[in-house]
Amino acid sequence: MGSILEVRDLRVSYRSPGGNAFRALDGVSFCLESGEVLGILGESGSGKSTLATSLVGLFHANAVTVSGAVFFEGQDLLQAKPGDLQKIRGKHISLIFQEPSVALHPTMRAGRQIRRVLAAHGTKGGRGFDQRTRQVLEQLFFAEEAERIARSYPHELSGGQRQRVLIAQAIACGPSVIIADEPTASLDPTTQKEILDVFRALRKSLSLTMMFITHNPALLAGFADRILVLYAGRVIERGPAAEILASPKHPYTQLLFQSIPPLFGAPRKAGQKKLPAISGDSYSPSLPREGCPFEPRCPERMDICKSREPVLVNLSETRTVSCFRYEDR
Amino acid sequence: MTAKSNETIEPLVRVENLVKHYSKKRLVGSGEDVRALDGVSFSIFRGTTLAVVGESGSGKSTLAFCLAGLERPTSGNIWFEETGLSGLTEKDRRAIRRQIQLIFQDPANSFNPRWSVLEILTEPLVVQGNLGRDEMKSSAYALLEQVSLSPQLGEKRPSELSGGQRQRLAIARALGLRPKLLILDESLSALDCSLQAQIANLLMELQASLGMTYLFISHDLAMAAHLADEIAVMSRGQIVERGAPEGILTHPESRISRELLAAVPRLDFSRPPVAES
Repeated sequence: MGSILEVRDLRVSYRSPGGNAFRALDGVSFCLESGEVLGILGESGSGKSTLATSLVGLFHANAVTVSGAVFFEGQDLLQAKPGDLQKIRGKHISLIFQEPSVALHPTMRAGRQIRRVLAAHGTKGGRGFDQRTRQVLEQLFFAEEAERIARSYPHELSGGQRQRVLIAQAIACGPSVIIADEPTASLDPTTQKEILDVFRALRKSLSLTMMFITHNPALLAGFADRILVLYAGRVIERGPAAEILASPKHPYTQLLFQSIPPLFGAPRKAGQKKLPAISGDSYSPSLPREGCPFEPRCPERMDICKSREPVLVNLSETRTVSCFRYEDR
Repeated sequence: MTAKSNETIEPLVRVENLVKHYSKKRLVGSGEDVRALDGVSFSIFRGTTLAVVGESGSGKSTLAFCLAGLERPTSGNIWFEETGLSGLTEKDRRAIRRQIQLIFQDPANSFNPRWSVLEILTEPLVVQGNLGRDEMKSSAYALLEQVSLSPQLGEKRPSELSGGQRQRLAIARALGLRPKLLILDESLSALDCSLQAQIANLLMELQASLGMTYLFISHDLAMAAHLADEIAVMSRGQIVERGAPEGILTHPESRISRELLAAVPRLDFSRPPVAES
């Protein structure tokens, strides 16, 4: 194991239509270890999608300032030339987006869309591409199905099949890192489970290194090795997945987990039990801020929370949390 | 919850053997009909919640559309407060439609983006046409309060609201016509977990204070079990299982219920007891 991707103090700001800048990412640092699945847990406004795209140098046109560094194989991707980045994207680092119906070309057969990824990174000649396309599809579909899928247009495929085609595109060139941004968000639960199982299987067979971005902590259970919790563009908690899922430390993470209705065990008679929801609205990054970004919604806020920002506190060798409740230890 | 127990004698909605077929048009020849609803019957009692769960394509949304009057059923009947909808004239049907409101998954697409929050809230009242200007404005503000939205949002456009605020606005707009039945078609599915909990709590509050009746359509069995008095599991246009949430969670009878149950992503730890608040 060694780190394959290192993010150092990444900051990205956007200009809003009103003219004021807001920070989508505010000093994010972490390492992605080779062979691990890193779960990025964050809700709307946490900066998780900005994180996904920033890592491969895709910025919105209204991104005004970008600072920090993203090291991949010794190269800082934020300083890389556009041409060099294009060689890395899709070949060494692949991105899987959440809307497979939008991410695929509507008038191109699925097989050809995978082939084009291979051609763009041109390692083998014509017949080699066809062969590799078939091979990749057979990793994701039953062999007898793969042929039909390759000849289908996206609208002829189900949501789950489309997502598999996107995954096929992502793994076609044998990348060393896959970044998946809410890859199951638009799918129904049974299909969602199917796609999660696909990731699990691929992880074993290809020993993938992955960043799995989601707002639903339950999707990371039994899948991610480590979890990084994002809130308002900063890392507020991180550690081994099993530990975080079993005993979250940051008040935000704790409340987030409790807000998911339990399937078993707890009383749930309608009208009698409320879910312990986080009060207020999700964080708006355009607000001027001082102190902890979660302070306005935090049920355990103290005086100090308003006055300055908490720093990341080490709870153990592998766990950190950014909250004043833990700063004295 | 006294109102609840007193009013559960007659059903608000009764659906009998509802069938909806869509013809599959082909360029050459005619395809087989799609049986979106294939003989569905159920009742929803006043002040209660019926959750309909199932996979995509099981007919859940067609059911919502038929109840809301957006689709005409092929056969079968829907009774709303003892009035059969199929025999009604368009005018009478419109009067009933007002009492049945539908809330979609993505409210962003169901608002006019150029309208302010106040305009969005007053439009149904204008259509209803028996309120003065000032009355409409004050009832719009009352609606905002009912869904815990700040009155300062009144002049904002939908694009300036967050996802949770937009869904609250959709609920407020629906409440404006004082409906008796709210159909929630995947209304929580597109929201973050913490916002789902907020909106679920709001729905429960409104049920307690206004005695609302809900048809909650979802593929999320956990949330359905949390909100509903009864769950109906749909598959291929039919209700394959029906019962109290506890029963379906602990002893699922049908294959599809077991599959849906297995598909609920779970945090692998024993959670703390649900807090009182």
